[in-house]
Amino acid sequence: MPAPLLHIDRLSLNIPTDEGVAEILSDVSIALNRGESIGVVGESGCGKSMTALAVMGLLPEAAQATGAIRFDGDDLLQAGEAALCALRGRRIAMIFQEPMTALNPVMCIGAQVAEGLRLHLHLGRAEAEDQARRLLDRVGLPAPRFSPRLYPPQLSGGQRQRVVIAMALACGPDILIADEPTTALDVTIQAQILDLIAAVTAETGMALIMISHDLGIVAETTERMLVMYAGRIVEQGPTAEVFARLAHPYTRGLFAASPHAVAASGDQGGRVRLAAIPGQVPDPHRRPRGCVFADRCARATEACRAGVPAPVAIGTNHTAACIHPVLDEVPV
Amino acid sequence: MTDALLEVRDLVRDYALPRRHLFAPPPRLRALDGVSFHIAAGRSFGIVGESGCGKSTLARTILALERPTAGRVHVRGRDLFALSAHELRAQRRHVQMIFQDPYGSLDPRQRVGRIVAEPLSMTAEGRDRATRRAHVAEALQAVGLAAEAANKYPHEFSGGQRQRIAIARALITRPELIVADEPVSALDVSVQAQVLNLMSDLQARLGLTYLFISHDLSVVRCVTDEVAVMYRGRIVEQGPTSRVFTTPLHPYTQALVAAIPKPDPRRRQDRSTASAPPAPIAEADGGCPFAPRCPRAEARCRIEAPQLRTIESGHSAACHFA
Repeated sequence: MPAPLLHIDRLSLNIPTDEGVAEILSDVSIALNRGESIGVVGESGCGKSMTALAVMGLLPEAAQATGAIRFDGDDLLQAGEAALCALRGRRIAMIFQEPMTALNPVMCIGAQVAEGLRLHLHLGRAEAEDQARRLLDRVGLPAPRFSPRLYPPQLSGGQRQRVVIAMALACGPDILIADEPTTALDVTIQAQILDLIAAVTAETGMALIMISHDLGIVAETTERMLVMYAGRIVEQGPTAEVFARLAHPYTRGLFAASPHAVAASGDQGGRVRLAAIPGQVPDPHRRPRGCVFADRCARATEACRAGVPAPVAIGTNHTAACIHPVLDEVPV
Repeated sequence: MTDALLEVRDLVRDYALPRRHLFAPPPRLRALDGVSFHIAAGRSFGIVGESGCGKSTLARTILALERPTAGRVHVRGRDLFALSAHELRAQRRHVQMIFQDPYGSLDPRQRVGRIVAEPLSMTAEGRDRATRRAHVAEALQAVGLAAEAANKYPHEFSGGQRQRIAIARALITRPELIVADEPVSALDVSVQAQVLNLMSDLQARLGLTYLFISHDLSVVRCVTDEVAVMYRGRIVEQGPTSRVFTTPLHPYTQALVAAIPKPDPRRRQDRSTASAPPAPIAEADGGCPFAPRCPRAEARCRIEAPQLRTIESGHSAACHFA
């Protein structure tokens, strides 16, 4: 088996603050193969975006990272700024949540798409502009309606996100990281953007890391997924497998609390009472010693608070970091 | 309808857009185009639609923060826009609002006690400090917060707790109707469920009436009895919530329901089919506003605007083919 394209190996991340050290990530390991799509789900503050930023080399100055992020043999945590600059946008590209802040409002969209081509691929102006035009066509912004001379404020949210996708595709990266790419969009537009991301990754064979708080999005766009909670990976496996078992109590709780899941269960009745998870995500300054989810978990025992539970095998390539994983059938 | 707590009839709201040139009349944008519905006391009514469909204009009009171009809003049979300024002020305590963003809607420099007590300032009981304090404690307790929370500042609370504070502020005047504009869309899934359940509990306990506005169909499904789907300022479908979502009649509602990502990996196959670029949305003149995007549109749809008509008891849609 060849080495994975991207291998995050026991990445831990601490940020010292006035209130003490914030533990942002603990022991996060992810292997991503060429052409694979992997989903990362979790609530805000669980470390999803920080993992993505670590891969892009965009961590805050004060962040103290241990472990390794191996990309094609090089450790990105040790790489210098010049090496990272050559990588960002060229081999690893990112789509952000809010397209308006990701785009430069005073630069026309054609120039923004062409920027990476000129910088990384050293294309001439005319050639880069031609290529930018083709990219805009590809993402559903066809000429003549969408001139490359338009500025971001002249576009709607969905159209702006298409421009961001065109920028990310420009240099043919190996990995596309999509961090909540549709959270700011309406549902029908969201469906179009997800379709577009699925189509372009399938066409070019690039690997996809889809970060979302929405279980539905991850279910529909990825082959493998991992569930994060309070800076740790609590469950991971093939997407179909994880949804079939929902072995970690947090994954199961998240699923039960999601109104989408209730709606999808085909319940014919009227109003539904959601199964809320009591309490809230622990403060990164005061992470509990044992299992991070123990305080909110109905299955927690003394053993859970004694130490961090090791991942246990649930199925093929499917693990859950839990001493008492839920093994019964998922109610459909 | 005499038992309706809120009745909205033929509401129209036009906004003037910037003039194209100096002497041209300003073009008009019709944000609400003949919206009518009523909510019976103690019920929960949902409005769903995408951004720009007029949901928030509707909420602002019902709160009398905005005057309609035409149409009426009756609360308990009284026409809001026929009241004098003084009467309107007295009326406001019966209708309260919960906003979307619990970070933006609470003043960071005021203590929670003062934030929650603010709506009382226009009522008689708000003048007495002890009564005010008792009311604040009661409201905080109703939303599951300790009375000591009154002495803290908003930044000391998480997003879900802040939204509880916003709900306490809405409850303090003991209103009959609460207008909730996207109350949980800024919250995480597990916390969202807590807040939705709290809203349902409060309704059962205090007999509240909700107008629940959201772009998220699944959320609306969990807390409402009846729902109206809006598109470009019009109600295109209305009916009992469970029926609208299980058997949507209007093509727009069908598209909305189909677009929700479902946590079911088996649907993944459908996704990979290449996406067509979206059709340019042309202005529909006189015809059905949804016709340019509608897969079933025919010549008739572009000429004649369909009226909202009852298809089966209590369930209506504005579509020629429903």
